[in-house]
Amino acid sequence: MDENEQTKDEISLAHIFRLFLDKIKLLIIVVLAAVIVGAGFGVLRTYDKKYYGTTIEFYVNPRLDRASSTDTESQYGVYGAYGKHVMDNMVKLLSSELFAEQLMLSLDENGEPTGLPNANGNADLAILVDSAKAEKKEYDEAIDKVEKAIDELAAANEDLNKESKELNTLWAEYRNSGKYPDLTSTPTKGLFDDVDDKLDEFEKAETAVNQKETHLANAEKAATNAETDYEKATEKALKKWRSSYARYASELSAIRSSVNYSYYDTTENVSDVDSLARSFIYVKISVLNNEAMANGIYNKILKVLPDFVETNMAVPAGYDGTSCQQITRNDGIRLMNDGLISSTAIKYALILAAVAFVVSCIAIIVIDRSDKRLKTVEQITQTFNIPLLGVIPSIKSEPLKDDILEDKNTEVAE
Amino acid sequence: MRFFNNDAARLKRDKKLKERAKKSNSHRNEYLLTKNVSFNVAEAFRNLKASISLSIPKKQAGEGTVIVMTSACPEDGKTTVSVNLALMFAMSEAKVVLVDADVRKGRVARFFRRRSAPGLADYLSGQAELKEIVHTASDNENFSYITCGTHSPRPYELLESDEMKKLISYLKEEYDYVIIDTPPLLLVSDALALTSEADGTVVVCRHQVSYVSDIAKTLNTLSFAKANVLGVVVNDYEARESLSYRADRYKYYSYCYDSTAEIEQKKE
Repeated sequence: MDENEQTKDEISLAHIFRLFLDKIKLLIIVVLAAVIVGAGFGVLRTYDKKYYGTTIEFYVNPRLDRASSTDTESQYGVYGAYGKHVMDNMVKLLSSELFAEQLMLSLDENGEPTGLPNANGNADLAILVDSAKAEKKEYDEAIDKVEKAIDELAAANEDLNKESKELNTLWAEYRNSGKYPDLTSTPTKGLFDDVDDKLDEFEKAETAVNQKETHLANAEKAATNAETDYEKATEKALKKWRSSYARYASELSAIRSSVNYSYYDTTENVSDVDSLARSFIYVKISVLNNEAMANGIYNKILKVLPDFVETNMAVPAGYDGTSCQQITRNDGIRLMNDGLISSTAIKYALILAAVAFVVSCIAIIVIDRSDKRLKTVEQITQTFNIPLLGVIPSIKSEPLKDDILEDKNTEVAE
Repeated sequence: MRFFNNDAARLKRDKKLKERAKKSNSHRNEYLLTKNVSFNVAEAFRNLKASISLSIPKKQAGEGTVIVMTSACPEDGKTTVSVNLALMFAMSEAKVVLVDADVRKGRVARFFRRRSAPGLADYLSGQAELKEIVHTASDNENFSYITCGTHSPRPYELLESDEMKKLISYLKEEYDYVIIDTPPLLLVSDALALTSEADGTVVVCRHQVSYVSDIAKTLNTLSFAKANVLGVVVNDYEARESLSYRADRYKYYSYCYDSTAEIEQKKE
């Protein structure tokens, strides 16, 4: 009765439920397919992912050396705790590049020392200079030659000027003497011996200047070539350094992303000697597909971290230092994602199945709503307000064949 | 929500149906009401016959009832329903003639394993006599049929002609029921030529095949032509419950009402 009151564009829950029931097989198939696809996807994502790692706990507390303590309460040994902000700072320091470099300097992906250059400027310059030394030397020598050629040219020019000046003076004397009124302003050969000598010397000086100029040009060219070679060598060294640095940066990044630091601070009243307050630093190592690196990091942390913390932790007033000790026995690196494949597969299977189910339901409803064919007999009376004379059930039968008309035994033969 | 253009979808469907028809006739369910037909089918036609009979006012003796059967689109089952409806009328002792007015592509002849010519078109064009085109069924003398005849290039003009009107008048005098099978209304308008001569028009549609919009257009067209639409018949209906279950449910009634097979047995 409620359906009769609805307009033709509305759909009822009963109708939707009927739709889903009609397509239940399709829904089941879709969901099963989604489960298979999701599980397969989950397996593919994780089957080759092996996480190696472990968690190490360090107990950190302010240290009060018995020898320096005059307080009778100190007979209980080391105790105390750090405030939250102190632990925060220490964890930040451990997470920084500074500590990661310490882990890396004697460690590569195989756990072997690397000797890689780091980002310090002096070390880089040394590398550059060292690799382009020969080219630099050649370049410097070429520059020296150029400078020398310039000096020589200058000296030759000076000689030339001197000779020119002397020649002009001598010639002017002859012209000014009044004895030779037809003399030109330019000295000419063959008239006076001393002038000829001077002219020879002038020409020699001129020739020397030309030679020096040529020599200078050659030296400059050589210097240019040397400069080019030096630049190339420098560029090559820079490229090598960049490559090394990239590798360095990559390894540094890998180490930083493989180790996670946190702390647990059960600070209580520090002055209460009966309650030992503790600060714990948790180091979680997790390396993807590289057990050797995980082992390397693990070993290095055990060696380096306690000293680093003891050195860098702020010491509260009244205490002598910091103590950092590993407090739990740890069996070392192990495979951490034993059940990752199955749990990931299940997760993706469920997600995909849910999505597929919802999408299928929506698609079924959309297709049904968009299908404007006659679906129920009630549509006739509801839509057209016209009598429904009859409903002929579906019956499967063979269609009538044309070849029957050719059969001579039938009525057709008439 | 409208996601598809109905006209485009319908044309696509028709094109697909025509292409399939060229390859085979496997999409058609063509059958005759015989003693072997299941009870629910026979009962459905019985109900249809009763509904139609009640829809039309009783006529005086000697004046038959003319019913035009049409549909929106091809292969809605109009001819199958027409033939079996006529057979059902004939089984109830009424004199029935089935006229295949689909002179373009009539299929009534196939049901009776006969060539369509000579038929209605030949008679209307003066190339055949009436006695040549009216055939009486061998197993039921109450039932006669007229096939469509030779395909004509002017079908609408033939159906609208005075000869057709005279034929209908004659058939009304001779028979209790004149059932006229016409072409689909949305494809050709031949049926409109006959609705004015009919006492009632029945629209046949097919479950999960016919579009509601097509049925609406057909009814609107008939209404515009002032045809007396008796109602709609839904053909090839697939209920949610299995047919066998429904047959089992109604088997009980077959004990009370004789089946076709039993009636014929009694006659013999």
